[in-house]
Amino acid sequence: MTKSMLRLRWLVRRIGTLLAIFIKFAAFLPILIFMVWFSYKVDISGLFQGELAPRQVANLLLEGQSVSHYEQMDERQVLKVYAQNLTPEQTPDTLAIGSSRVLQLNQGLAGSDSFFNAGVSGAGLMDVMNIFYLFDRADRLPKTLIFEVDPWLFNGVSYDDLNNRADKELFQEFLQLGLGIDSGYEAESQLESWKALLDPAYFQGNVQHYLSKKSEESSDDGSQSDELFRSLNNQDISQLSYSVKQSDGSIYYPLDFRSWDSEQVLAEALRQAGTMESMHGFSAMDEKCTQLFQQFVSYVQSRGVKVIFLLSPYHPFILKHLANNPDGFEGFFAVEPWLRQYAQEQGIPVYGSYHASRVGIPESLFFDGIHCKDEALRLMFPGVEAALAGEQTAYQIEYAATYGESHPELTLEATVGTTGDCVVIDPEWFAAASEKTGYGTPYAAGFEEESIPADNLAA
Amino acid sequence: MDFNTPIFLAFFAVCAVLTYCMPRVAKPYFLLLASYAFYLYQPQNARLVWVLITATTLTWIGGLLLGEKSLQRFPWLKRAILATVVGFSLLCLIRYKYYDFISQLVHQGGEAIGQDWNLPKLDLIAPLGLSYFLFQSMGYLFDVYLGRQKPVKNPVHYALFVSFFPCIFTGPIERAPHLLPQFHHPHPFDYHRMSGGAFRMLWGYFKKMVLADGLSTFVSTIYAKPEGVAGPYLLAASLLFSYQLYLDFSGCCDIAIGAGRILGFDLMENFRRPFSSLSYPELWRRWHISLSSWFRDYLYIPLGGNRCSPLRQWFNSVFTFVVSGLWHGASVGYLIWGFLNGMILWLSKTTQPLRSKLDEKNPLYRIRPLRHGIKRICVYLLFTACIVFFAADLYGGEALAVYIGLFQGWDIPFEKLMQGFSQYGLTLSTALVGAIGIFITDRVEATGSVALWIRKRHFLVRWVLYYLLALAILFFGSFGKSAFIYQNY
Repeated sequence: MTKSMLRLRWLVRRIGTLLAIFIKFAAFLPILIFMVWFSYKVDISGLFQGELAPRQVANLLLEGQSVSHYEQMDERQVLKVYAQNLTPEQTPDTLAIGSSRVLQLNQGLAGSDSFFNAGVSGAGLMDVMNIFYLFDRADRLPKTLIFEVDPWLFNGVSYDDLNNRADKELFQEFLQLGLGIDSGYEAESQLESWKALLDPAYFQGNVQHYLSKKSEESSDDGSQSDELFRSLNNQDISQLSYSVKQSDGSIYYPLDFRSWDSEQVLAEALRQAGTMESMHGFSAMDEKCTQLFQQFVSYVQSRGVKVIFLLSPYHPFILKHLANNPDGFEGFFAVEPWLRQYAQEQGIPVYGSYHASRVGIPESLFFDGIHCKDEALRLMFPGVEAALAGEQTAYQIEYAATYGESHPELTLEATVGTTGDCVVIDPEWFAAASEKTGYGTPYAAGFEEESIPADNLAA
Repeated sequence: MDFNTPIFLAFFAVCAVLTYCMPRVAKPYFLLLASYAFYLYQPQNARLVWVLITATTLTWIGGLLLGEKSLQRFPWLKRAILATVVGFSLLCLIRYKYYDFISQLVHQGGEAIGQDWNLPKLDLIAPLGLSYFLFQSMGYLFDVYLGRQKPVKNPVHYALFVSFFPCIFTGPIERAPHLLPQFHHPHPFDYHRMSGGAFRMLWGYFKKMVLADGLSTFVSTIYAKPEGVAGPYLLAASLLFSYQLYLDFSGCCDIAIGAGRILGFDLMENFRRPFSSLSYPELWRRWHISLSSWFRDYLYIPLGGNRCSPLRQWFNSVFTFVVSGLWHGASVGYLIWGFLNGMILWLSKTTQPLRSKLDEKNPLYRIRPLRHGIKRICVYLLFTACIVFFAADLYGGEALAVYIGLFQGWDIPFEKLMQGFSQYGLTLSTALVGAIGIFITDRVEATGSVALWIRKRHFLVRWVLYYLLALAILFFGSFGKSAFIYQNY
């Protein structure tokens, strides 16, 4: 055998041995793969799946279940995980965004089987954009967006306070990647997160968590679970003492809150009128906020999503208070006329009004000063399909039936922007109309007509 | 770079592959580079690498001089050279490990006689592995001086001998006649050697990360603050620490030996089931063999060993162990630990004839398993009684508090006692895994060579075992929590 042949044989043998060793080591790969997979799935630190508590809520919602203790949820995190884990089949056709003032809007009221309410309490401009972007980023865009526009979205003075709960990094990302505005956003490196998947210590933490969860589940004897966030399907939620996040994202308030009598509602409205933190310093609509709002709406439309504006009314007492003390609240009164005009220009349907009387909402349909009941929403919102078709609301139909189509200005011009004449336009008519629509009396006990100064009543 | 970190595994895998691909002659050069890279990875070592380099250079030159034929006619000169180089090594040790301890003793001594003797404190951080590489190089010098080893001419081979990375931080403290020839003729690559080495490493990781670290939570919690801890917990912690220490250190040696094997070198065994010993001297022949034999060969025997008067024997034994105690650390605790071991060893040897006669008259001792069992238990208890000082020093507690506490708090109700164990970190699952693991390791190691044992198993059994060990490490191992105990010395 020649020398070169010997060398070749030596080389082949070495390579063969090396290969054999690598194959043997590769036999341990299933352990590594299992470790990575398990850590990714359980993900106790929420590196990939979101934090544990929000993930638990989001997963229950995705399973179509209603979840207990809404008031203790980190809503923004829940939505983050919810959007991230949505399957294409689960993607809602209609998505509602806004503040807690939209959270009564449920599937039935929206008139869509595929609906999710992604409102979050105290939502500022950043929040509404972030929430839409979460669905956009996950490629789970709805066909229609019900955008509950709160007046404070245009309040530049309190901008930081109003957005203090929003995810600033996510907003930067949206500005940069969505709106194309240079926000200094830099994509976060995922390397550390991926390294955690290869960390056996992280795996062990996940195993412990998984086992403790399993043992909790197996020790559950059918009695009520101790877990804070649990499924409430097949339970009567009307008697519960805490709020419930329903499977469509809407909120069902606790019995106590829903049972407030008119005095309690009024007392709360009085308190809220005295503070009105979201309106602090709102002497004019902020230019930047307005511009950002417009850019956002244009972006939503550019993504092929139809937009409906929804204005959730304030309790008449709040409006009266603002009208009587307009200094520093001028911006508030400017929002609705501007929004209506902007919507008209953009071909966006607008439903509702900040002025309850304009859309036929009596005081009895308020939970407090700023949150109206679902019945109120039914009065002022005809459902997604009808809204997109430009159909009238129940109130408008009733009004037209009573006064005829020739007097629309009474409802449309009554209080907009100028006066505080916003309580009730025509109490007698309202009483009759309310009786017909079945939503109770317009004036709750203890807040009689005579308690309102006559000069503040509309003619 | 700790053995139980992913970075070491990656580093080692690269080294192994490159060593395998390298021509035989180039291997020592590459391994020297790798060893220094391994050493310098530790930030404190990067600043103190000069100690390693100087010690290596001086001892290499010292070795050359000691082996110089022209100097054979001048034994006093040889002694002077030996004393100078060994003296340098000892000075290094004193400077980095013992100076502050000595200054503290001087201060306390001064206080005792009403004097204010204050030596300035240095507060130096010792380079990792200092005791190991200095003892290894001193051993080489002694061997050259005694004619057991020819001086190494190739500085690369010698530097590699001193700094060979699998054993630089935790031993075994290799002997020149054993390791140096292998650098000239490393074992050719052999698949069985490699798989045996890999299994030995896996075995070591299992012992360290699953068993030793599993016990360490409980032991360290108790020993960190033994005051007020009930007797049963102190007893359990003390009994378990002996095993923890064994598993920790022998696990580390298994990794080092396995790694050496994969690279083509046989490192010396450091443990041979010490707790199966039937006598205290036997225990010390099986425990930390490389250090014990180092002290035996280079200190105990030169002092006179056994072949001298009983008083001198006592002194030799106690002195050797006191020095051994100090090797482990500069503190009174280690000193007492060494002294006690020396005393027990001496007593064991001295009373051996008498005890043998008494044994013959004891009918129970005719039952061999019983006799062996009792002896093993006695040896273990004696070892544990001494190790209290060791453990207290290691975890920062007071050994005296442990001894006092051992006799207190024995009236705890059983249920509360069990809850206490759990609170201290010894849960039922840890205890169960520990007990099963210790039983298995003991049985397997009783067969002799772990690598040989696994090789004799059927293919399927072997792979099931590989998987079980890997899964045990993954599920129960402690990751990133503790370094090897003997890395501190």
